[in-house]
Amino acid sequence: MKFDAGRCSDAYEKLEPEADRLLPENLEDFLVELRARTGNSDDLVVQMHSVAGCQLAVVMFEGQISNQQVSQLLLGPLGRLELPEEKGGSQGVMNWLRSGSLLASDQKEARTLDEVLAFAMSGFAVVVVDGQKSAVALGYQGFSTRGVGEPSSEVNLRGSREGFCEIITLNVALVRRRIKSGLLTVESLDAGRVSRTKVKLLYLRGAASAGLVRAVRERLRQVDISVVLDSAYLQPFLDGGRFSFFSGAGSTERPDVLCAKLAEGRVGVLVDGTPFALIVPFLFAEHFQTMDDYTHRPYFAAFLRLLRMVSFIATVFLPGYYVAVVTYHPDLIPDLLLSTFVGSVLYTPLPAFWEAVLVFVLYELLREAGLRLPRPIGHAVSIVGGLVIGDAAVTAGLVGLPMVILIALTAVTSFVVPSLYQPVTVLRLLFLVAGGTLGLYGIYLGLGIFLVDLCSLQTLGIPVTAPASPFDRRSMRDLFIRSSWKKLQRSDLRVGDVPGAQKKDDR
Amino acid sequence: MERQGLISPFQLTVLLFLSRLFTIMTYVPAMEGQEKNGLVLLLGLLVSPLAQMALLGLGLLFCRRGRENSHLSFSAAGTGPLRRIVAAGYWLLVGAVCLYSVVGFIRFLAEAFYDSRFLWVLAATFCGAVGFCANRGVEALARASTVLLALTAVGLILLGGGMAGTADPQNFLMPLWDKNLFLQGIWQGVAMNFELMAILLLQSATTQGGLRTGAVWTLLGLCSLLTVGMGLGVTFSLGYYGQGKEYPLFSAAQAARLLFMERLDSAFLGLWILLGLVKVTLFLWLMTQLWGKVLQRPVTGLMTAVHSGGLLAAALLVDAFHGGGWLTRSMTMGWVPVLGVFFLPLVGFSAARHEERKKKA
Repeated sequence: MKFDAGRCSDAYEKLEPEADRLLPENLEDFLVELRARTGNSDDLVVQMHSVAGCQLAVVMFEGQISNQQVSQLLLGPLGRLELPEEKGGSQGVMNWLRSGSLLASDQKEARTLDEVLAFAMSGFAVVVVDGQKSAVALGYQGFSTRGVGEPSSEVNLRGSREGFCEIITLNVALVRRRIKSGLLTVESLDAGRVSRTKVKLLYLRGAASAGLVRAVRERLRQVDISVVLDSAYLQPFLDGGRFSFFSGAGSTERPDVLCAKLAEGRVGVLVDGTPFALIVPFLFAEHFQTMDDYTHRPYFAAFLRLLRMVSFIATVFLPGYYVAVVTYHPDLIPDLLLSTFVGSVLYTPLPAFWEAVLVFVLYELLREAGLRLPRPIGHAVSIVGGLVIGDAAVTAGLVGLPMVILIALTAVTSFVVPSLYQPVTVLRLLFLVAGGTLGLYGIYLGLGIFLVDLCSLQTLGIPVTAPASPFDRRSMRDLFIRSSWKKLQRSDLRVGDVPGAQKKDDR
Repeated sequence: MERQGLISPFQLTVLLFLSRLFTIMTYVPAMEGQEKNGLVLLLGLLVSPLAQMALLGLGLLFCRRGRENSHLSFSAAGTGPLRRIVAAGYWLLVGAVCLYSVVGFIRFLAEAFYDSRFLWVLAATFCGAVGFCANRGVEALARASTVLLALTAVGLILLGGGMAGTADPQNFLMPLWDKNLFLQGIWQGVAMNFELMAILLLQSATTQGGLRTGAVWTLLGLCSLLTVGMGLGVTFSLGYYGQGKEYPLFSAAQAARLLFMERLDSAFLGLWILLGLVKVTLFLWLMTQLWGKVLQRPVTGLMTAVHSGGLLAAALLVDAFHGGGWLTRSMTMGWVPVLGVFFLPLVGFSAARHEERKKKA
């Protein structure tokens, strides 16, 4: 079959939303347009009723609304509705819908066909009355959802067990419940030309600078992709704007973390359908901070932070450093370790570099397989991979024991800072290549490039390496170590105040 | 490149310090009369800080007179041919320092660590890395330098600790008084700071809020202390053995050991590479900025890449024709820096004065 690019692109063009139109006053015309716009979709439910002498249509989508609520709260009262003649007619019914009764707690008005569809697809029952230029949308959301549960990717020992869920309104409520202040502002946006996914912008007035909020809003408005299914789709638009291993926008599954970040002057972005909120800007040092740091005693929190930093360094550099030293600079190895390290390289068929690459790829394969498979099978894969293949490879003399220990150690340390897993994995491989080809020179040169590249990254005018560099002494109390709450309470730390931040305007 | 040059006085100080430290780490007292130079070095080190202070003090005074008193900004304003000539002159000076640093860098690596046959690989990777870093801008470099400063401190403490273990007071002998070698040593010590002044003069107007006197004096004090400290450390650690070495500090690091580390030359290597990257990146960035002033065009990534490639080609050519020694002598004896630090500002000043008088008239 011949592929017709022209026809294909035509088909895609039809996916684009049509120009928005005002609601036709005639109900028949409205229904014709509605069916045309939805392609007479099967899940579109239109119920026709005759109330107080006029025709009206209730527009809904299957599965989006609670049938019980619609029947009891809308259709029941509508069926019983009797209006005096002077207050009757379509205007009378419209007035009754608008203000004459309390039909739903969430009540909106739609003036265009697009708005009608948007409301109907969001779990509203839209009542369109013949002869009226607008329609009333009543919120009867009744779709089944995953409830608020413990966040799986950010587990903590103490503190809240609540995590975000897939419903954006519920997520906003989780934040609002923690910050009961009028300063907490929520703005709504739509993202995705076709999906029209709801996006909420959250910030604390007085903490977040107006310039920062404006910049985030503008960047989100410039998003021009057809479907937005996750907050990660929007993340690149909030980044620094050029390629980097690290992102200037962070994500969290925890409402308490988002609240803490909002209090520091950051902007939160919630996307409907995903339990991960975006945080902008997100500094590099924040990857090493967890909610537990603020519930533990300060000395223990400081210890854990330093441990995470050491883990990050070990994960990225250790395999490359080992390969470089064993291959090019064995004279640097202390006498006691020399025989073990060099012996392991001598008695295996592959050079240290290829040995490391082999074990590294094997580990990543097993991890990926274990992750995608159903849990019970995933565990089996881990056991087979880790114990059986690993042990067999060492016994058969394919890889040396120090190499297996090293890769296993770096694999463990890579999970200490889960948010950095992606860049760390690729960087580890790059440093392995640098160490294997150029020795220590490659490692140190790579370190220099890595540092300069990281330091060049800035998000919305704020350098991600702040406040370590550019250095801010005041911020040191909550960077490498965490000072006690008595010290932290003395003055608030705001992300817009870090040195090197471009001041846009007043808060 | 956006927002280029908006670095803090502290960051500029750190950049200057690290650039200087790169030179200090491979301080070669003189090419002639090796048997006495190690001792001359000590005397030179004691006197040269005073001369350095005077020179840098003058530079600082010049920079503090106004933000426009940077040669980079001077070259940027207006389109007169003289300004372009001054910018081109500075471009040559900075290029010479850059080339000298790259040649010294790869020569050291090839001699101390790697096979000389792969010198071109070292040069290519280093110039590529420098080009990449220069393309990221001076702000990124300045921020990275703050982190590198901490790493450098750790490295120096390690080196110092290791050298302390092998130090022997017997190694310290009173220097022999040789008038010519003494003066030569002082001049070399001072000349090495001219490139530092060049950065200061070029970069000063691009700092936020101008230079701080205290920061520069701290920098100078630290540089002088480190120079003297390293000289003394090497002498205590190696004695007469170190005098015959081209890289005495590296030899001391090779001999030093510290608990779990058999030798400390890997720490030296790490410092050397990172400091070299900082210094050459800074100079390459300045080169591209000056070239932009010469052409009166904005600096592009392509311009940086071409400069990086040119630097690589020049370094390989210099090495192929064994021009490293000549280049080193030119820099350490000071005629290239003298041209840049004294002659070019003079031309710039007279041009500026001339224009001012014209305007007033």
